[in-house]
Amino acid sequence: MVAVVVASLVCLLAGPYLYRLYQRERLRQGAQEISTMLLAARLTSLKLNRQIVLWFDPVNRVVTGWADDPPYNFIQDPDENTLLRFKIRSGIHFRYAPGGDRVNGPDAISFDGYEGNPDLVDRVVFRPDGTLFAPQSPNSKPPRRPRAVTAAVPFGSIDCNPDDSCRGIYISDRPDGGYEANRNTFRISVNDFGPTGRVTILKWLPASEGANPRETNYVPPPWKWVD
Amino acid sequence: METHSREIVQRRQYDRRTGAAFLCLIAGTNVIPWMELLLGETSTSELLAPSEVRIAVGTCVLASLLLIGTWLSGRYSAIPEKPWIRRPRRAGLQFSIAAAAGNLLLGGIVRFLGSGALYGFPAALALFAAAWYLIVLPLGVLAAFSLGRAGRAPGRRKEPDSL
Repeated sequence: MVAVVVASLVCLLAGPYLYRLYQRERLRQGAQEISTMLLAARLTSLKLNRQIVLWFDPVNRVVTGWADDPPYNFIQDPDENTLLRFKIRSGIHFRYAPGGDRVNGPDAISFDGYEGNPDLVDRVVFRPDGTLFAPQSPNSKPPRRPRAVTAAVPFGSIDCNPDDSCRGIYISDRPDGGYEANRNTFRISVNDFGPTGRVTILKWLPASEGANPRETNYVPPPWKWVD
Repeated sequence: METHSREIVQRRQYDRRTGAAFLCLIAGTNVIPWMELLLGETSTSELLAPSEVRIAVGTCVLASLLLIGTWLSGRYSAIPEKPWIRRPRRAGLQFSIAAAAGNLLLGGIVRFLGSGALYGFPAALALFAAAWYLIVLPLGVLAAFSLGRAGRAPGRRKEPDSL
């Protein structure tokens, strides 16, 4: 009887901790996997000396990469074989923060618009030299540096204002609804400041957690979690 | 005579229940520092290794089993003529509080400092594990044994008079 009571109490106390841990790890793993895919696509472009397109299909939760041949239309033609394929894990949602309209919304994967074609969306393109082919849509601009570097907004952070328009792949732990500041959102992107090909994973910092005024800050670790 | 022996039996039962409650306190607070350690690691970009989760959860489970085993050992083993714990109730209470306080203190330190902020997670895990295994766990084991022994010895305090 005593053993049962003690075991129950331990489970009761450990349960909420383990659930939070599971949720956080799931989101962090999702971010790491997307980051790894971006790195793999970039390395493939360098290795093959060809243009690589990595297309995110948020509805089917699949990422597909192929070598884009002339005329470089950024679409996978029948003769362009799939080089990379990856299934996005369940429980993470493509959603921008703050606001972030809805899951799988237009800002959730902000690598949109190529060669003047606004219909070419949700794809990251690497040139044969490994540099990023910059997307052109208004929601896919490079980020700005924060106006002030503070303890909460350290070096390496970005500011997505004005108009929350910076490119990136945004994943959140919560689907539609809910109090916004209770959402954990990661931004995975490449070439934030300069053509280094560096892939970064940053986390959204709500204003209540110390973000700079009138800025939308995404920050590097150590991260603060809201849950 | 019969009334007296019934009182003793009742007193023992009270003491066992008290002992079980304190056992729950120790086992429950054991979870806190280990889980805070794991949660602290999520603030970094490094993913948790499955072995790290296994160590933390496994330690909590094994510690609980050890505490229950020690409590049973204190309860059922023979009392020597010159016991090294002379006042098991008081010792059990003091060790329980010390173990629980140690757990909460360690949990607080981990939460305040961040698990891997200063030395990196593996080093923090080693430091933390050393402190926990060498200080907190022995206190918990001593407390469990004393509480088990307290449930065996006849009661000291009187029952409240029935109205």
